[in-house]
Amino acid sequence: MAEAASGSTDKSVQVKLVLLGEAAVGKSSVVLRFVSDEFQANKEPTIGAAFLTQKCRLEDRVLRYEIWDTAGQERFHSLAPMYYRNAQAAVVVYDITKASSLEKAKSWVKELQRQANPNIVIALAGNKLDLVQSSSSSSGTPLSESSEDEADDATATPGETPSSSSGEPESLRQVPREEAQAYATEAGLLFFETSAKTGEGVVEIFTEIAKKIPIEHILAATRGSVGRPGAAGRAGGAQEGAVNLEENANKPKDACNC
Amino acid sequence: MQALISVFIDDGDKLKSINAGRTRITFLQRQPLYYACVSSWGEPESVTRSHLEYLHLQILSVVTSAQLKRIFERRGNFDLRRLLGGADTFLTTMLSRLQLDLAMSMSALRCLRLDSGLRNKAAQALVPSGKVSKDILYIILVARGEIITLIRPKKHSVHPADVHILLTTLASPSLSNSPATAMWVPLCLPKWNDSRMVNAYVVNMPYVDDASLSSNAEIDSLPTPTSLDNPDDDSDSHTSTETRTQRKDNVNHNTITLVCISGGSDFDTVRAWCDDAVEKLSYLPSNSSSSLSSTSSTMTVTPNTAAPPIPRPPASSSTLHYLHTHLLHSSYTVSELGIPGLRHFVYKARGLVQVTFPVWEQGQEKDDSEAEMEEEEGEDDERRRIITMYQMVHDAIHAKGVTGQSKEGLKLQYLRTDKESVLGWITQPFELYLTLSRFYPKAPPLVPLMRWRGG
Repeated sequence: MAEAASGSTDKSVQVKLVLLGEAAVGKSSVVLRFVSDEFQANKEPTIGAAFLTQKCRLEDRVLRYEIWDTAGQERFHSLAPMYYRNAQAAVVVYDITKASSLEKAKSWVKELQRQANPNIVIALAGNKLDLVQSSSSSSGTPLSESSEDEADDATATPGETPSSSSGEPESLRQVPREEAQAYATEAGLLFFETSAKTGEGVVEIFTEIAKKIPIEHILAATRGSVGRPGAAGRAGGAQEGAVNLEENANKPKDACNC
Repeated sequence: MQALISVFIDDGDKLKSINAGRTRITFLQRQPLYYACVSSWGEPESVTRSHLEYLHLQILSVVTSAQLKRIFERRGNFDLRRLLGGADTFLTTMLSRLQLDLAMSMSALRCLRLDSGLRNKAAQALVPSGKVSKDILYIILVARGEIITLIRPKKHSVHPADVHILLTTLASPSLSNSPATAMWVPLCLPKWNDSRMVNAYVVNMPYVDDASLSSNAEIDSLPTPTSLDNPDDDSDSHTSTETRTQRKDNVNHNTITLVCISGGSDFDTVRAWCDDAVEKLSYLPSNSSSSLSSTSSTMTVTPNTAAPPIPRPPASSSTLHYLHTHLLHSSYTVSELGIPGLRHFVYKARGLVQVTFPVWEQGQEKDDSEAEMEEEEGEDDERRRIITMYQMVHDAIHAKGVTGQSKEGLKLQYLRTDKESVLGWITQPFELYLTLSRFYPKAPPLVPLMRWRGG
């Protein structure tokens, strides 16, 4: 049904967004959190690419994200240009407990900057933040969260975590926040550390992207079907899967209404 | 294993199987890969071999045979797992289907039992037109792993094995559990072309009842979705999670999946076409009830699966809604046929390569002693045992004359054990397999069954 509404009558601004990153870093989990506010442990690997949509409200505009969540396996790499070719935004995800995944993220960023739309907004997201946090904000212990993604991903298997992990959860971290932040600044990317499991930082990615997207530009390109703010909040809450910011109580106040 | 197989290759021979008591180890060589299966179910060797063959095809659907050849020519010790990343879920799904799926055992397809008028209507909505049609190879509408309709170019048939590869891919958790509205899945259909990838655009259409459908559409067109300034946010988010969990429960059972296989890689065109097709299926015609009323006895697409009259949804329903409603009534049990002594059957229309069979039932029409006896074994064991017997009979009536004097082989075989008896019968137009109560007299109830399937 969401598909059916994508016609010309839709007054929201469509933003094509692509997710890229190494296998098993949690791309699909980040999207699932954003689109349905859910989390699934042991999520199966994505095959090819999956298409999802979610609306996001920024000040007086409604953005409709059309998200291509791509598979991270190397054999799907050659398909990626098809998804980022016309994308206005990209989220490149890595796993903060796996250093090599940041290297892969960097190579994706390079590819995007070289071959994608020159105005593309790129966000770098270090996922699995819950694995390195003490249990203050998340419900489970880090040990039980370890298999967030595929079991074949050696970084997050319970076996690697000493059973006394509650003492030193930070030891799982392989990518220091400062290092990734420095790289992101240098490369001109938005930067976030996220946890698809707890939801931390996920909505913020899409909010910040929404702020940075040259909306006027998109509108001009799609021959001016200007999004006009309608009667605010009219029955809109029943829209299935729409993001409800009230649930993120710890969010900074100045974030956009997404 | 390599050594074992090489010993025979050196002699210009092929290692096919090793028997060790009740256990048989079967080998299949598909260069550059070797497959092996250890089984003690007692199924015929040809069956195990076909299972391994299916496994091979499933691997080819991920890595084309041209790719395989190239890689192993370059590096003989290549670890194939590197290329199969993320694909183990296909292989495990394939394995579990192979063991219990009767359509695969019979090398045929299982079609959803459906009113043929409705089936035609759905098919008409899906026939591609315009410039997209030369790009599209097949269009398949599937529910619960059964085919609703399949659209293909004229003079171009679809190999059942390719359809099973596709069904397995769809059934694997990577696709069936995905929350995505659509997916773009590159795969190879090896029987069509084993060195070329095609793309499957997959759209899941979960069951939504009419009321929520229209209200959702309304909301969708509103310029402002949920937002902070909505005072009812809390209750709203609550309702939406509830519908979501509900949807999840039904997702595998009542989802209808549209698959569009295209050779080209221009997914925007394919996507636009599929969106149109979904809209056509969901379109609410003003006079829809008239076209569907009198068709339940004409059987064009699947002759053997005309559905009985079922409660119709309100007259103003879309084709998609009709399909979803039919889905709830499409399976049948053998006791509905009311044929004494018949416990299960499989009917294959050979020309159409289609099968139909009733759902497996628990404790169906058994005598007390039988029921007692089967309490000891699980339901799965019973199913497994009967499937193995079907396979044995299937193997026997399909066997080519060993000595070459008769090409025809057996026409009819009757196997009797202390638990039940199984009969297989092959003719030009059909194959029929029956499972009968062990107390049933020798003459099988063919006549009433033939009458049922004819009418």
